[in-house]
Amino acid sequence: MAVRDITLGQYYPGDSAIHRLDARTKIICALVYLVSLFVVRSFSAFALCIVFLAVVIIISKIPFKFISKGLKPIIFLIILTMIINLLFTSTGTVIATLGPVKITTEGIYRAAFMGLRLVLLIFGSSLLTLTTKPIELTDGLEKLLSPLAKIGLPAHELAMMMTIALRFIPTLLDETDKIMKAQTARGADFENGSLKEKARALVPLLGPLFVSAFRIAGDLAMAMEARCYHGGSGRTRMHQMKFGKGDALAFAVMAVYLALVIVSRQFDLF
Amino acid sequence: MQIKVENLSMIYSPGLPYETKALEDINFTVQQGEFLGIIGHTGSGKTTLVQCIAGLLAPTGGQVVAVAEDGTETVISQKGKEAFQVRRSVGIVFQYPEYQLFEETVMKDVCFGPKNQGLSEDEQKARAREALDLVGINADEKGEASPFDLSGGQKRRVAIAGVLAMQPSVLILDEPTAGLDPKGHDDILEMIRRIRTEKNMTIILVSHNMDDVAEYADRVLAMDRGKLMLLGTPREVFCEHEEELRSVGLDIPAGPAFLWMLKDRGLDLDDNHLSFDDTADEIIRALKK
Repeated sequence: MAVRDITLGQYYPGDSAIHRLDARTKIICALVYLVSLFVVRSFSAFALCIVFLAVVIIISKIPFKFISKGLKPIIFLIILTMIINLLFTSTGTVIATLGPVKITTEGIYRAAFMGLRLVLLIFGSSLLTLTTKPIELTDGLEKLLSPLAKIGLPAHELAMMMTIALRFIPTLLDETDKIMKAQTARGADFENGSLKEKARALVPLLGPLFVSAFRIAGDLAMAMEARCYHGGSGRTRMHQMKFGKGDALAFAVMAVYLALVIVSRQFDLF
Repeated sequence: MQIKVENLSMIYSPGLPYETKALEDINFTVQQGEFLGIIGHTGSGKTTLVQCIAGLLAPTGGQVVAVAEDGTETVISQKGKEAFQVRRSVGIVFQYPEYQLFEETVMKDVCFGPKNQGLSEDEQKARAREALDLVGINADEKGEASPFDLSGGQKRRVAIAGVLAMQPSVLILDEPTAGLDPKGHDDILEMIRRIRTEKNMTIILVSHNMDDVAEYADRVLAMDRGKLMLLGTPREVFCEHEEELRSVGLDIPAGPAFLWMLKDRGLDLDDNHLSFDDTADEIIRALKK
C-alpha cells in the first residue's frame, strides 16, 4: 500500500556519527545548509553543496535509495517548477518557439538550477529527520526556541504539539490503511474513476478517519491529564541534552562549509 | 467455493531495516461450508494471512486460489475481472469493524456494499434488510437511526451486516468479539453459527479465545511467528499438542479438554462443539446413564 512508503519525516535507525550528534546541532546545521542553497548562484558552487551532502550521507550510513524515496511525493512539484521556469523565462537566446511560448537558454539553465536546488533542499531536510528521532527533534526545537519564551512564544506547547503530531502520523497511517482495506472489502474503489468519482470515494475513508482521530485525541488528552500534565513550567527531563566534542566539530565543519559557499560567489565559473 | 493457500509468504518492507517476515510458506485448504478457527499470539501473522485470503494484500510469494464449484481456479490476488468477482465473494469483517461506519443512517451504511456491486436501489434495500435481520437488528426500528448513536454491540452488528449484505460465500472475521461484554460476545458467536447454517457459508474466524475456537470451529489452525504450526480438529490440536501450544503463549480450552479426558477414560460423551455450560450438562447426563 502506498501510504506505507512515505519517508519524508521518517527516522532511519542507526548509530553513525551523525545519528549521535545533539539534535540542536543537527537542526542548526540543517538550517545553515538550507540557507547555503539559497546563497549559491552557480552550478560550480552547487558542486560543493552536493559533495558536502554526499559526505554526510556516507557518514550517516543511510542507503541512498532510502533517502531518494523521500522525493516521490514531491516529484510532481519539482517537475512543475521546472516546466514553469522553462516556459516563462524570456531572457536569453531563443532556441525554440511554441506559439506564444519561447524556450530560451536562460530558461533551460534556470529550470535545471531550480530543480537541483529543490532536490538538494529535500535531501538536506530529510537527512535531518532520518538521523534524528522525532522526540529528540522536538526536544531540540523546544530548547532552541526557549529563549523566545520570554517574549511570549509558547515554545513548550509548540514542541509538545509537534511531538504529538509526529507520534501520531504512523498511527493515523495505519488507521487509514485499515479503513481503506475495510471499505475496499465492501467494494469501494479508491483507484479508478474520474476525479469527481475519486473525490466522492474518499467520503467512506475520511468520515471514519476523522471519527478515529477525535477518539484518539480524546483518549490522549485524558491519559495526559491522568498523569498530571499541566504544561511546560517546572517539567524536568529524563534525558538532558548535552553538547559534546562531536558537536563542536560539526559546527566547525559547517562554518568552513558556509565560508566556502560564500567565497564561491566571487568565482562563479558557470 | 474452496480456498487453497499455496506456499504463501509475505514480507513487509523488504530490504529495509524494518523488514519483517509476516508469513512464511503457508499451505492449507479450506473446504466449502467449513468453519475454520485461526489462533496465534499477537503478531503471529493471523491478520496478514486473512487479508491475503481476502485479496486485500498481494503476497510476496505463493498464492491464494479460489476453486469454484465447477472446478475453475482463480488466483485471488491477480488483476482482471474474474479475480475481482471472486474477491467480492470473500467477505471480511475487520477488528473493531464499527470504526468503518460512515453513513448518516444505518440503512445507507449497510447498502454501501450492495451499491458498489451495482445493484438497483430496491435490491440494495432488500439485501440490507436481510442482512440486518441476520444480525438481529430491526430494520424498521433502527434503519433510519445514525450508526453513531447505537451502542457498541449494535454498531458492530451493523458493521457485520454491511459485509453480509454483499452475500459473500466465504466470511472472514478477525476477532469479531474483541472489546465486547460476555453477553455481546456470546451473541455475536451464536449469530455467526446461525448465519453459517442458514447460508451454508464458509467461515474463517480469527480468535484469541481458545474456548470459542474449540466450541465453534471444525478445524483449528495455529500460527507461530508467521509459520503454520498446527492444523487439525480442535481435539487433535488442543489434546495432542498442549505443550507446544503453551510454549508459544497459547492456551488450551478448559471445558473441552476436560471432556476429552473423560472420554478417553471411557465415559460415553458427545464432545462436539459444546459451550462451557453444555459441557457440565453433558457430564451430568453421561454420569446418570
